[in-house]
Amino acid sequence: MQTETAETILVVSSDALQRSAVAKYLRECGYRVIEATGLEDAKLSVEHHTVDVIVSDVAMRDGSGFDLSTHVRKQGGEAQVVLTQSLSRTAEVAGDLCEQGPLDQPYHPQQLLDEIRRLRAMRS
Amino acid sequence: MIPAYVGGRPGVDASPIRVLLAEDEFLLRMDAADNLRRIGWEVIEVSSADEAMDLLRYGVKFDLLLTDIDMPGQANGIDLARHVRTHHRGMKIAMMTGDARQDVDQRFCDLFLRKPVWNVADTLRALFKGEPHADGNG
Repeated sequence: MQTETAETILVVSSDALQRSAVAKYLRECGYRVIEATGLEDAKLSVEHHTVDVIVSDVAMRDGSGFDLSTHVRKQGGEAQVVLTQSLSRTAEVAGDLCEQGPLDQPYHPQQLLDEIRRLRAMRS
Repeated sequence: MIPAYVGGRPGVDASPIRVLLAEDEFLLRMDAADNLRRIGWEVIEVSSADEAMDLLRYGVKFDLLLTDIDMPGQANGIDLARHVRTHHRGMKIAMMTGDARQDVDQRFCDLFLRKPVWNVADTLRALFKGEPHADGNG
C-alpha cells in the first residue's frame, strides 16, 4: 500500500508494455511510481519531482539511459540509477554512471525490487 | 495483465476500469494517470497514437481510451479513435484537446474534453455510470 512517505521510483522505457508491467509491480510493492516514455519525459520528471531511484532502459526512442544518468549527475540529483538491458559496452559505461546496471532483460521483477531495496539500504 | 485491485478503500472504485492514456505532454499525462490510479483504475500510459495502436494490435484489452488529439507521430488522436471505433467496439473513448478552436466529430468519441481537464477521475467515472456530461470540465 502506498503511503505519503513512499519512496518515488521513476521507470523509464519506450516499451509501453514493459514499462507498465514494471511500474505496476513496483506500485504493488508500495512505491510511488512515475512513468516516463523516453529521455525527455524523464528529464522533465526529475526536474519536477524528487526521485529516489531511476529504473531506465539503456536504449530509448529519443536517447539513452546513459544520457539520462549524465543529466541527473550534472544536475546534482541524488537519484540512484538502475539501468536495464544488455548491450555491448553497457556494463562498462554503466559502471561509471550508475549505481547498478545493467540488469539483463528479461529480468524477474523481484530481482529489480531486490536491487532497489539494496540501493536504498546503502543510502540510508 | 489483469489489474490487481485493492477494494474496500474510500474513494476507490469497486469495478476498476482499464484505461489506455495517450498524451504526449508528460506532466499532463502523469497528472491524469495519478488521478485515475488514485480511484483504483489501471492506467497504461503512452505518448503517441502510434504506440497506442501498437498495444491494441498486440491484443491488450482496455475499457477506455483517453487520448489527446494532437500528438507527434504518423497518427493523431482522431486516427486512434477511429481505429478503436472500428476494431474495439466495446471501448469507450474520451478525447481531449488544448486547442480551443478544435472540434471533433462526436461519432468518434463518447466524451470530448477541453484541457486543462479538472476532476478527470469524476468526469470519466460519470462516463461509465451513464451520467450526462456537458463538457467534462465541471
